[in-house]
Amino acid sequence: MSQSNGPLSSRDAATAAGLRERFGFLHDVVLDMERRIPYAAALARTRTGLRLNLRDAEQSADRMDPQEGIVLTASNGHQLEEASTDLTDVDAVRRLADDLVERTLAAKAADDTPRLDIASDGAATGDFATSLHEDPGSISLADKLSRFDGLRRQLRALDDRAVQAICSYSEHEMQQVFASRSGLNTQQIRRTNMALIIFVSDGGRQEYGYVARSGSGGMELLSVEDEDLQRAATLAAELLGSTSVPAGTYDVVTDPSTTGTIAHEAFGHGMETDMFLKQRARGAEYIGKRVGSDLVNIVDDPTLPAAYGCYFVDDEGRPAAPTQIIRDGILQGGLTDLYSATRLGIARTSNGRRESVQRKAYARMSNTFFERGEHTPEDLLGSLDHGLLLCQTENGMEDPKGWGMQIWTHYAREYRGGKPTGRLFSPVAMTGYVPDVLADVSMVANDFDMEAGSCGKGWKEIVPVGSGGPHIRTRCRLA
Amino acid sequence: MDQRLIDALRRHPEIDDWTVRHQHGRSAQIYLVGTTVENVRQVDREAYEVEVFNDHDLDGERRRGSATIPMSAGDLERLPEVLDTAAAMASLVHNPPWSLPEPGQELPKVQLSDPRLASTDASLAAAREAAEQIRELAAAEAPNGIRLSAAELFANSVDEELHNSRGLTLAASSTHLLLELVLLARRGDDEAEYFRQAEARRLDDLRIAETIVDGSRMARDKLGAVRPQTRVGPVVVGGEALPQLFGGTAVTQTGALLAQASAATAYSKLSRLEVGRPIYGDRQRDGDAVTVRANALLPFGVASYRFDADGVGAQDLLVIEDGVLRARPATQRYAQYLGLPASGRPGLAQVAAGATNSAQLLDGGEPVYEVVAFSAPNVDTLTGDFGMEIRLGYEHGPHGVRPITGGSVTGNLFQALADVTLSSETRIFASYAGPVAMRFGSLQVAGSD
Repeated sequence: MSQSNGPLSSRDAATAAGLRERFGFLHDVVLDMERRIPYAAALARTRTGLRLNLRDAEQSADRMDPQEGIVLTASNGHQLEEASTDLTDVDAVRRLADDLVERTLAAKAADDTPRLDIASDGAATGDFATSLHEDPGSISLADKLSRFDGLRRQLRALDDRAVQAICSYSEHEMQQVFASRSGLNTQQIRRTNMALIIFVSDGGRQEYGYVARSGSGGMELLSVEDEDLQRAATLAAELLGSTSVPAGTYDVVTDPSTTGTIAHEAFGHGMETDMFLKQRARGAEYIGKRVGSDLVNIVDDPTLPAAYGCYFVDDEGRPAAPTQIIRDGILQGGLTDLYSATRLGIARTSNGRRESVQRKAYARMSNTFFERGEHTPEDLLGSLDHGLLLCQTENGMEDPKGWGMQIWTHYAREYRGGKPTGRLFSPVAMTGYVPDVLADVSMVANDFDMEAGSCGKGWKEIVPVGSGGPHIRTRCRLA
Repeated sequence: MDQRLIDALRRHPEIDDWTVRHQHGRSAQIYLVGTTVENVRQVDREAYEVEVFNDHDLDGERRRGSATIPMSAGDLERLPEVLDTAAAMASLVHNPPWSLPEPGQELPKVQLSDPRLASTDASLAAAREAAEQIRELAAAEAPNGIRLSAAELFANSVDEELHNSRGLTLAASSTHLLLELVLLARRGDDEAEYFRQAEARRLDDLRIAETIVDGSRMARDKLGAVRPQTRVGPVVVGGEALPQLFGGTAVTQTGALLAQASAATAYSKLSRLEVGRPIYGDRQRDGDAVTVRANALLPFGVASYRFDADGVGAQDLLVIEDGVLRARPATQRYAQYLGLPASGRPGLAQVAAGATNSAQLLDGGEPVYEVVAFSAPNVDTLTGDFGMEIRLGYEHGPHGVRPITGGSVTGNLFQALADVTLSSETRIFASYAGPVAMRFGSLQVAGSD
């Protein structure tokens, strides 16, 4: 368990106290602003982080952008106005708040603009921190470089045809303070991420295999066994003999990374309720209706232990809690931010997230996944008369209005009569009509795994997320 | 530029070289949901990024380590501690030596700024005016069944300075606009959307009126569009789909063509291209010869700049000529590693025009699929493999033209270019400039079986 809602460690408690001492004035700033306008809030964020990239004949060790700053939010009862600055001293922030209130009061809404009555937000008021079993801060940079380059060299040595091996590693700790009329909370969120990639060549063609580890927590999440490295090297070599998949519609079993991407793209983005407000999501018309087989259960949960998209409080002050998106194939409800929940008159969920203080909050996913079923993964694969096991999704794209979906997987293994034939296809583009793909979910396995990802809203607003689930069996179009 | 930082870097005994980049950015952002203003934002940010170098010996060889340290305002108040950490990081990194750019190079004068965005207040006023224009233009499309779903407009300006330990001192200013526009078309119970993200250096270059008219037409066309048939055959890629094929993504700024050509990729032994050799892999050319430049000098180009992160002046580099790799775009470091001239960060991929009118690309006696928008760019920068869902396209066949949507187009960019016909008309996008349409002789389309 790498989330901590209980007592903080002494180090985390000291950090929380420091955040309160430094940014405690934000609560007073917000209360002052609300003497003149109906709603105000403040968010302060800072980040420390390290990024390593190790490869043949080249290394880098860089600090992450601290992204330190404050964003003040104000409403005049019709719309929001915000001001963002990297100045964090009391006087500068108070001046900014005064200017923002003046600007907000002066903003003229169009005659037909409805009122924006923001209810008491019930913001969390505690201190929260991701717990660490192996604190990255306790390991020297020299030891990290030695450990990760050792793994990289070990992977590279596994195949004579290797032309390159890369290890990328990142750790970061985001410290955040949110203040509203309800009070002030702090959170310390730590994430680690590592990928080992081997590139092999037969002289003409290059392919790759990889091992990835990540999550909310410390170095304990990055354990890699010898067999993991061997699997990556073996896969890269196998892929040198892979072909394009003959275009067509197939019975498929998806691995957890692909299952998670289906959840994310199919009914993740489409259930972000700012999309409801913009009338971009067809799902808005299907709340309470069937959108998949009764085996389909999809959840978004920022509290899922150790998953990459974890947090304790969203960026608009809402305490983190899971949201059931689909239960037994029936669409339940969406993921909200403050603005869309207020406009739509629906309950808030803890999904208001910002890329940084320089950007506005939107309704965003956290950790989105299919829930487990009853079968073993072997049951699913054994049921394939002729089908494919889709593995290692690399990216996906949604179309909540048209309910189209595009997923790009690294490779697929062919199965006939429930057995692998040895044929590999790579890469594989999966497209489909979301309701068809979910209606065709005929088996759900009892395994479960989560992967880290970076999620954009359109092509920007990148936030860390997790996605995953068990193996599932469905049917889709491949090319 | 904070002189305390320069002084501290000069004094530090373990820092052998350094580069400081200072940016002061201002942004006005306006968000519409339908015709309602959701949020109006002002952003002010001052950022320092310091790259420090430490030279040392390892196993008898001279090595250069570096560490890049983005700084907050608070870091400037504790410089000794921050720079000690940076120097220690650099001392643990062991790379072959390379040197920083020296003063004396003549930098290009590249036009990068819209004078209308000279201040935050001016940017905010321009953004409000543009938002009003969007509302009015969308309202004018209402008789055609079109309404505005959402729009976001960012008007950004950046003043930047670069100083390095060799005495190089550079400055540049630029503006950048981003428009995200969503239009909805309705016919009966059917609805379809048009999504566009456009970037420009000048407000006028966003071509808001044209974007809304074109977007309205495309949203209407998507109503009733059918899925294409699965087949291998000619595909014409045009309009917004071309930058999706040749430009970068949210993750990779440079598209597959220039990424594979780059010195950095070659140094990592991950380039499939060789200088002096055709780019088509094992395929023989059976179409127009492809010529591609990495152009960072295009006036008001989104990918244009005055100097890159090392301080190398922008260039317009001939990369591929008649299908043969001629030069590798090389940043300072990789240029020295490979013994090439430094050309700086590559700009946009600029493909030379062909000789065929775009309308003729759709002829040929057999049914042709034309794709004008993919759902998202997805070209593997290592292999050139691509697979993209068709957001909107058209089937040109014996029975006329009908819109298509859904399904996918897959292939390999390098192999596909062996059999391409390029239009004579050209257009400039943010990450791609060149023919407005390309006909690929044989690509896999997956749709209805």
